[in-house]
Amino acid sequence: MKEVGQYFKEHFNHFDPEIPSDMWNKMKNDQSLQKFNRLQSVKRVLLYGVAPMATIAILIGILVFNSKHEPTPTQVVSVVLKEENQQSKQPIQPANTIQSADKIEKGSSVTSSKPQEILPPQNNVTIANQNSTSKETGHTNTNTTIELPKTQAVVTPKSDNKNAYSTVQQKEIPKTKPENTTLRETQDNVNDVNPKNTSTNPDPDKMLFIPTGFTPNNDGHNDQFFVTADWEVCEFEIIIFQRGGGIVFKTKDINLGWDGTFNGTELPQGAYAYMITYKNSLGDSKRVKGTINLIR
Amino acid sequence: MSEEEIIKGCQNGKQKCQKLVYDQHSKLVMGIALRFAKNENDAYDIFQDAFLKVFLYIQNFKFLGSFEGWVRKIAVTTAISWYRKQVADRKNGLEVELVDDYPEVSIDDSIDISMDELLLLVNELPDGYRMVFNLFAIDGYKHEEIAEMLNISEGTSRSQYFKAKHTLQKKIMEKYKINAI
Repeated sequence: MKEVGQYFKEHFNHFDPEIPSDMWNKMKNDQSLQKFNRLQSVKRVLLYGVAPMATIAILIGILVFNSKHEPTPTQVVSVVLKEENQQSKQPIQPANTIQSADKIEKGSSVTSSKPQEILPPQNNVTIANQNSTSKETGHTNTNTTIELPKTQAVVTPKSDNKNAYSTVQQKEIPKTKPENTTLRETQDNVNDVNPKNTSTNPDPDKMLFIPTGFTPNNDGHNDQFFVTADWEVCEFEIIIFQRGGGIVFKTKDINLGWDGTFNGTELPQGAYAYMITYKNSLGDSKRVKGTINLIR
Repeated sequence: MSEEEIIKGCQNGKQKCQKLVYDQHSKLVMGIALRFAKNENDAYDIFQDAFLKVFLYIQNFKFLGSFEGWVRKIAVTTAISWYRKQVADRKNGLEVELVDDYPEVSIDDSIDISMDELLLLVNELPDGYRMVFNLFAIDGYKHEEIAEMLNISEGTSRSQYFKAKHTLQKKIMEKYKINAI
C-alpha cells in the first residue's frame, strides 16, 4: 500500500510528455516575442555597434583637435572678441584662452568695475569700432592702457594677440595697473590661492603670482611656497635650487607647494633660487627666475 | 554552447538560443502544463504562455539559482494564474474546513496504471483540488506556500489536498479493484 500523493509523485517523476511538433513554430511567431527580439537586437546593435563606434569617433576627434591646437588646451573666443571681429572685418587670430580664465575674467571685470561706471551693453560696439580705428595707430604695448583717459571705452590697441585680454577687460580702470604691482608687493607673503585677486591683470606675461617668501613653521600661514596663476597654466614646471646649485624641489603640478624640506630634512633659512617654466595663455613658453626667501 | 551563453543569447533576443532553451525545457514545462490543466488544449495554452514568459522575462534571470528551477517556477505560476483566470467567473467554492489531522489515504501500489490514466485522473479533479494536489504532492510546495500562491488559507489547502487524494483513491478503486479481482 502506498500513500496516494507519494504514488502519484513517483509516477510523475518519470513523466515524459509528448510535445506537438508545431508548438515551436506557433510560438516563435508570437507577436510579443518577435517584438521583444527586435527590440533586443536593436539594443544589441546600439550597445555593441553604435556606442563603441561613437566612442572611437569622439576619441579620434579629440586627438585630432588636440594635435591641431597643441599646446593650448582650449580656444575660447569671448563674445566681445567675436563682435569685434565682425566689426573690424579683419579676422583677428582669436586669443587662446582657457575656459576658466574667460569666466574669471568676466566675473572679475564686473566686480572691479562695480565701483566705477558700469558699461551699457552697446558700448561693445563702440569699443570695437574704436579698436579698429586705433589699430592704425600701430602697436603700443599694454602699458599704454594705463595712460589712456578714463573714458568708459578704454581703447586698447589690438595689433597683436596679447591685446585679446585688454580688449575683454577694457572696463578696467587704468589705475589698477600700477596698483596691481604694488598690491603684489604687499601680498608677497600671502599665499592667496584665489585667482580672482590677481586676475585683473590682462597681461599674459604676468599670469603668475610668485611670492617672495614663506615661513614653514606649521602655524597655518604661508607654510608652503605656492605659485598661483591667474588662470590655468600649461606645462608648468618649477625647480627650486639650493645655494650650491642642487635641486631641492621640482614639480609639474602648480598645486603642489614646497614646504621648505629636502629629502625630509628642513632646510635652513635663506634665499633659494627658483626657475619656473610654463606656457602662457598665448601658448608662448615662458621662463621666470627669481629667489624665494625661506624664513624660519 | 554553455547554458549561460544560451541564456545570454536569449536575453539578446536571439531566436536560435530560444530554440535551444525550448528544446531543453519543453518536456518539463509540458509536464507541468498537462498536470495543472483540465484538458490537453488548456495544457497547450499554458505551455505556450509559460514559454513566452520565460523568453520575455529572461532579462530578469540573474544567474543566481538554477535556470531549470526558474523555468519550473514560471511554468507553475503561469498554470496557477491561468487557472485563476478560469475560476474567476465560476463559483468554485474553496470551502474552509478546520481539520488538523487527515487520515492517510493509500492505495495498493501493485496496480499498474499507465501514465495517461494517471494524468487523466488528475485532470478530472475539480480545479481547486487539482491545483493543491499538484503543488503539494508533485511539485513539493508546502501548504503555507500554496496558501499564499492560491490566495487561500492554509487550512483550505490542507482540506483540498485531502479531498483530492480521497477522490483519486476512490476513482482508482472503482476502476481497478474490480479489474484486479
